[in-house]
Amino acid sequence: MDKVIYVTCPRCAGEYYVEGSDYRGKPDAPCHCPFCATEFLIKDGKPRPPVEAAQ
Amino acid sequence: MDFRTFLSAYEESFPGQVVHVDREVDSRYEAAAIGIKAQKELREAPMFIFHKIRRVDGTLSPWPVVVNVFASRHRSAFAANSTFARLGREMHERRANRIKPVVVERSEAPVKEVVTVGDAVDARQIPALVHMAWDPGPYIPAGFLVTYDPDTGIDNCALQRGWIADAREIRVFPNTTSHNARNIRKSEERGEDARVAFWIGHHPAVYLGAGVKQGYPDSHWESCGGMIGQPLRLVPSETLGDDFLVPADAEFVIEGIIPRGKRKPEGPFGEYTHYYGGQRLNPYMEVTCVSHRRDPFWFSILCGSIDDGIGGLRREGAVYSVLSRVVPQVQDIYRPDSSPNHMYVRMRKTHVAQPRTAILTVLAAAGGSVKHVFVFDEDVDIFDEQEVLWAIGSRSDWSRDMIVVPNLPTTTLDPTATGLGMGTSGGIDCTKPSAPALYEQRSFVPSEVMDRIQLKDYIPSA
Repeated sequence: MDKVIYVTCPRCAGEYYVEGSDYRGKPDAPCHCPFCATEFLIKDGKPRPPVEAAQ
Repeated sequence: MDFRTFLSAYEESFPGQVVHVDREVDSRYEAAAIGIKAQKELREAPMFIFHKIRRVDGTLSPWPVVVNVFASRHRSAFAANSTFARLGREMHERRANRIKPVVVERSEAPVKEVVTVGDAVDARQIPALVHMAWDPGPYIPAGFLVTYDPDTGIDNCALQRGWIADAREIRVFPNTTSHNARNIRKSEERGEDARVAFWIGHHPAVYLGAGVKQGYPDSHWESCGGMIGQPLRLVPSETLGDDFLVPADAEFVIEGIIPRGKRKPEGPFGEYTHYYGGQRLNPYMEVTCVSHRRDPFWFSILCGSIDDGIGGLRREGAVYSVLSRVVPQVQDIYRPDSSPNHMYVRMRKTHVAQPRTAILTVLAAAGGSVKHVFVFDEDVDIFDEQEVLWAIGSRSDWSRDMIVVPNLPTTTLDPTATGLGMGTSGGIDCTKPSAPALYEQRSFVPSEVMDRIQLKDYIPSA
């Protein structure tokens, strides 16, 4: 299981990662772009690997 | 006892090791770059005091910023009145001689010289640095986050990162296995918000004492007293109640409340592993008060560089206290600057099994904070990386001398760990075979000659 999930900021296209243990299974969890300060939902940040809603 | 008493004594003894920078330096990356370049390019990194720091909002800070205090183990040893080799062990030994703190009046507490509460608070005025490229903003990396155990009232504090996200909001990362996280969870389980405070800037020996690894619940104020040989002076908080005490001689104290059950994105942050710790959903602190001296120094630690050495020292002490009882032949241990995951052990081997016992004991005692253990003979200087690499290369046969243990606990910040904080650990026995087995002799110049020759007789500048 991947430890981190890479995301892309929908506004500035900056790439960084979040901790999988905090975000996995939570597609509506908030992210904060460290480059442009945009707040977005992880599902809108092209998460790699994908996050799916918890069953 | 405070940062000023240290600075005065240290600068007098080692004037070249304190660099005052009067030209303008940007808090965004520049201060970190200067500190890290000095670590890489100079034989011993000096501490820097930046007197003209431009804050992230573009204004000049009236307060100076200090970095690289802990970028030299010699400097830390000076602060603690110890030695390079013994410092880690002494931190742990002195912790046992606990000295209770004393509580002073607010009028006797330098950290109360300027007190700002409520809506007047703007934590963005603090000249906190942005260290690494992915950090989302200015961070508090040299702040001890204080909590109190709601059951016993016993204090706890730990160096834990805090991102100044807004005028009155600091997003914090109390690692889930930490005692602070435990205290915050206890408050939340009671249906209460958690009371917390950061203290920043103090005598480095107080930092070393406060950072010593402890049981739970176990007062860090008392271990600090043991480390410095006198009671730590504390003072009641301004907004968290008179029972919530903070160091009276700190440079800054930031008080606040962690709202129950609420989380926000925090990070990424360039961590001590030299990797970014990923963004997390972490608690945040609603700041209720900032107090500081009239002319405060802001402390920063350059995480992911050798300035982050406190963590290694605290591990050395905690591990040595266990290891020396299980394998009394051990003489020294060292967590090198080159890797926060490594531990070197030097011993006088008397039985073939002792190095293996030492490896397994270190892994157990470190509780996941050490991944690789290397054990050496007593003739190897484990504080010299060249000697260490030479001994690994010439005294280990990995088919018989390596131990690999899968699925052990490790820090979640280790990139090789799984998301569950598990990973592979192990060690290498780099000792020679025990007598009567035969082994090649290490080459040497006769000691009588080595002792007699003085370089300055041949190189006047030496």
